[in-house]
Amino acid sequence: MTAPHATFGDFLSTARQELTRAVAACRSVRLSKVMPGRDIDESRLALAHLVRVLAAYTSDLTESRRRLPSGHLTNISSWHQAAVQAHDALVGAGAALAASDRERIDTGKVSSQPARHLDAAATSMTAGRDLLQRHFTATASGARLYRSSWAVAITSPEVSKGLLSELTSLGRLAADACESVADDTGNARTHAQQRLGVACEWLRLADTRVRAANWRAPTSALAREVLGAIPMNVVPSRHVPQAPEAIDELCLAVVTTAQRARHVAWDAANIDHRSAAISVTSWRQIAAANMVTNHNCHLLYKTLANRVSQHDPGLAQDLLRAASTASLAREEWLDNAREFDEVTTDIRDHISPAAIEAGELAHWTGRLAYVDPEWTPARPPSSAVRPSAILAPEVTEVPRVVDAIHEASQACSSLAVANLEQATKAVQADRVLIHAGSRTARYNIGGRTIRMPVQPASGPYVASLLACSRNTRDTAERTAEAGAQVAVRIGAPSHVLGAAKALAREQSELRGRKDATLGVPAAERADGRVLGPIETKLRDRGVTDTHLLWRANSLDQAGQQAIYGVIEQFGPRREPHAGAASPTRRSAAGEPGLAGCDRSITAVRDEPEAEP
Amino acid sequence: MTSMTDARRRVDEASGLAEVLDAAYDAFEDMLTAIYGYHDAGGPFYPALIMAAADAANGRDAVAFAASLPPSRQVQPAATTAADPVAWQDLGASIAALSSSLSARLREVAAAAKTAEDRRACLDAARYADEVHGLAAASLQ
Repeated sequence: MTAPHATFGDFLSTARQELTRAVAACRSVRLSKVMPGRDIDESRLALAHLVRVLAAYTSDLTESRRRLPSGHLTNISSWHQAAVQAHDALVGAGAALAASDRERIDTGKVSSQPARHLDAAATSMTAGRDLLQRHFTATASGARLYRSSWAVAITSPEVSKGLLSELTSLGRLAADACESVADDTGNARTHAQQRLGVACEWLRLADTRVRAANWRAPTSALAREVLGAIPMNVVPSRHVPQAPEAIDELCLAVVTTAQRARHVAWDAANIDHRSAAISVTSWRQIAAANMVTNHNCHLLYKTLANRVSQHDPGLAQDLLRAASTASLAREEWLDNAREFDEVTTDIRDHISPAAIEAGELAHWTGRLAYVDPEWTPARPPSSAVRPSAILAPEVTEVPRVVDAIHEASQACSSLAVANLEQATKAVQADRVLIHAGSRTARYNIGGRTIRMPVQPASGPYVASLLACSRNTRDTAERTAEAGAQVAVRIGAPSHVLGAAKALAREQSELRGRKDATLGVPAAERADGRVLGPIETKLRDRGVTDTHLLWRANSLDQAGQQAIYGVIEQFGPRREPHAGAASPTRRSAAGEPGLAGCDRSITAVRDEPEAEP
Repeated sequence: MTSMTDARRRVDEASGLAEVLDAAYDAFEDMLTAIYGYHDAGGPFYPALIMAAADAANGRDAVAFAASLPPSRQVQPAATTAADPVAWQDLGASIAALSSSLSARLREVAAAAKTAEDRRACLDAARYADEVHGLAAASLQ
């Protein structure tokens, strides 16, 4: 229920199915007769297509290493080595197949059954890569920026390991399929068959390298699950239940609304500080709606706790804990709403998509929590809560409801981040205003006396507003974590959300540590920009002057450039274990076809990685 | 609840644009104080009024930008004493009544307003008063 739209896992499994069929088809071809002009050439071109796609993935995975100066190939982990080696091997396979860009397979005219399946697998993986790429965007300077909350998880080491394993295992499957065609023992091998055979060897080599890395530092099953669950980066369609009282339908409505809310919340958090879409009206609506949503989640958790108390008292305790955090979040949103009522913004009356989705979420969680099929927030406080026997007639139906509540909590957490980010930007741009003491105070601006009912919010207001918004964000995150714990415990589909968030957090911490190894402590913002130490210091002291912050940022960048320059000139800092580290890339002498490999991958920044 | 009754009386008795705006500003503020006071006093969670509070704040902001809002009077800080527990029905009814009066008076003075700025402020504020009324009244049915 968590993913009502296509996920990366769908493309992976389609590719795997196609390759499994290709293996079977190749075996049947071998039993009959390989037709050199058809099976071999078409298989070669189809395999070349697949190899090109797989190499594009490994190129993405190893891209960052190409930007760094040469001579930094020491002390990298087995996984980083495996990624580079797998990429080299795929490039080698491509070179062995010698399919130029002009020599592409014409999908419509393929008559060989194995080639058709190989080509279908390649097409599926192309779509999968497109799905992943849409979670990123590039700046004019070529820097890759996150475009969704999933992007951080995608770039996490664990998910990257999982992806690499999947890619090379698909390559091996393709090699298994093509081996039958390449090794037609009944006849002497043609030149094309020999090339196909060499490519298969390269594909096996890539998989062997990755398996070796996996043996040393295995990928977690959860990371693979997160990889499979990565959705399309599009706003899901709204789901309006056909049967208003069907719990399944209501849960789906909550899940899709929560996913929509998370999507638009990301956009809202990353909006420009000058945007007309920043408005106190939206902040207020989000705060009010999230208060209602958290109240509804509190009721739902309590109802479920009641449902399972006889069967699983431990689970009931977890549900009650989650109910309690939802209640705390409701109170925190109440405080936040008060803060938003104390101030205003230069632009008002704009209702953002995030505010609309927050309202929808309050609506659908209420329909799930209350008996009244027509429930809206305008119903009396005395509305009857849905009995547990109706919410989850069977204990096995508890996970679907937990899935919906957890998704809703995650959405509230994202909306809290969006409000905080917008408020921070609005403060920095002097767009947060307070009502003037005399209501319409007079200001001398540019020699003219102007009557203004508001004035820019001063220090205490700003500090209180931002502190409260931060508290709300933290409490909302704790509520989502409590939901994730329950989801993991009972195997609700949304448990991958919690895992993705944990991986994203690890990734952020890892990036912080890496900058610390350069002696540059850093803080990452929601938009993916890393703050340097001087800018961080100023922001911590409450400085909001944009010019000062810009100067601080320039100084940070200059400092970082200087450090990189030193590393360039004198080499990386030697860690205690650096002497024991193996060279980053083994000499590939003697391995077939390496001349065709991508030699641009020559530099890898020191990236020590904890391994068991 | 006395503040709500007083606010309504002020709104009803105000004459002229400036007085209505002055009373409206305070009435929206009083609604906010009453709604938050109700939740502070531990009353049953009242979703309609939580949503209405956002509209009340928006209504107050709309009034604040009216050119004819009197500049002279200093805003008195809201009383911080703990509110007495109030039955949700009573609170809902008084907010519904106050917002209904507010909407009517604001539309009335909007029609007579001489500047577009005042007219827009009155109509925006009246629209928010309608939203508050819709939520409060529906919750009592």
